[in-house]
Amino acid sequence: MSNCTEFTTVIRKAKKEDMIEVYELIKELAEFEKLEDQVKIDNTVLQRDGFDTDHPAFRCLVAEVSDGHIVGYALYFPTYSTWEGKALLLEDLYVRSAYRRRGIGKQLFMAVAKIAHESEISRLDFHVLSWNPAIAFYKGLGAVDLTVKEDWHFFRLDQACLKKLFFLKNPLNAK
Amino acid sequence: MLKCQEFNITVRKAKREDMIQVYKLVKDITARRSFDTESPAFTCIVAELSDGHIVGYALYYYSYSTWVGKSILLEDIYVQPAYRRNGIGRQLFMAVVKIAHDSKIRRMDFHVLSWNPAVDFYKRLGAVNLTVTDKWHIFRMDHRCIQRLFP
Repeated sequence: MSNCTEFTTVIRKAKKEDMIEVYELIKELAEFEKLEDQVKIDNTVLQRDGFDTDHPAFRCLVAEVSDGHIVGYALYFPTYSTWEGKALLLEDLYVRSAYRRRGIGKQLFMAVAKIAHESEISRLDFHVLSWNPAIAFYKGLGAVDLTVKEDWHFFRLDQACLKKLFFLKNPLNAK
Repeated sequence: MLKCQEFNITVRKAKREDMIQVYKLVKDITARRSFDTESPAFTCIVAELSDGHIVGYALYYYSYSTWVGKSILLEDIYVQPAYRRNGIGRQLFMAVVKIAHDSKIRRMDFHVLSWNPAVDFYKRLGAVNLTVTDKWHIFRMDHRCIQRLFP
C-alpha cells in the first residue's frame, strides 16, 4: 500500500466487494471516452471473472480515500509477447474528476509499473485515445506511442462480427 | 482439427513439442510459458503439413474488457512465405474465431502494422480499425523504461 499524503489516499489491491464501486467508475470512464453505450457487463460479471475463480481474468488496484470511497482504479491482465515473453496490458486507468491533479493517477500507474518491475515483466502496454490529455503524462514517464512511431493499428472483431463469421460459409465476404 | 484441402494442411492446437518448430518461426522461447503451467500464458494453433512440418501458427491469449468481459487478443498469425496464398492464414484465423465463438467470447482484438497487406484480409472479415475510426493509439513501456522508473 502507498499513501498520498496530501489527501490520505491508499492504493491497494481490489477486493470482490469493491467491484460495485469500480463498476460505477468504469461507466464514468466510458462516458469520458464518449463510448458509454458500449458497456455491456455489470459488477456481478466483474466479481465472477476477477474473484470467483482460481484463474482471475484480470487484476485490479483501487485508490481509496479516508472515508472509504473508491475514487480511482487501474485494471490490468497478463499478456504475452512472442519476442520478449511475459507482459502486462493496462486496460483501464481512471480517477474521478473531483480527485484529479492530486497525484492519484500517477500513484495507480506507478503501482502497476512496480508490479511489472518486480515480476520481471518485459513490457507494459496500454491503449489511449489520441486526444486524451493524459498522453503527456504517459510520455513523461517514458511510454512510446507505437501507433505514431511504428504505424501499429488496433483492430477489433466485435461479438456481432464473430458470430457472423462463424456461421458464414465464405468468411471473406463477411462485409 | 480443420483440413485445408487445397494444400493438405491440418490446423490443430499446438503440442509442447511443436514449440521447437514454432520457435524457429518466432525466434523466442515459448514452450515453457504455455505448457509447463496450469495457467498458460498463451495458446498456440499450428498449421501442419502431412509430413509433420509446421508452416504457420496463430498465438493468442485471453484478455479482458471492462465493457464486454472476457476477450481474446490474437498476438501473432504467421505463414511461411512459400506456403502463402493457399488459404492457410484464413484457416488459422478462423480456427481462433471458432474458439472465440465456442467460448462465448465477445471480442477479438489484434494489432497490425498499417502497411501490412493483410489489412485488407482482416477488413474483408469485418474487422474494424479502431485507430482510424476511434483514434485509439497503442502505447508501450518496455523493460528498460520500466526499470528507469525504479532506480
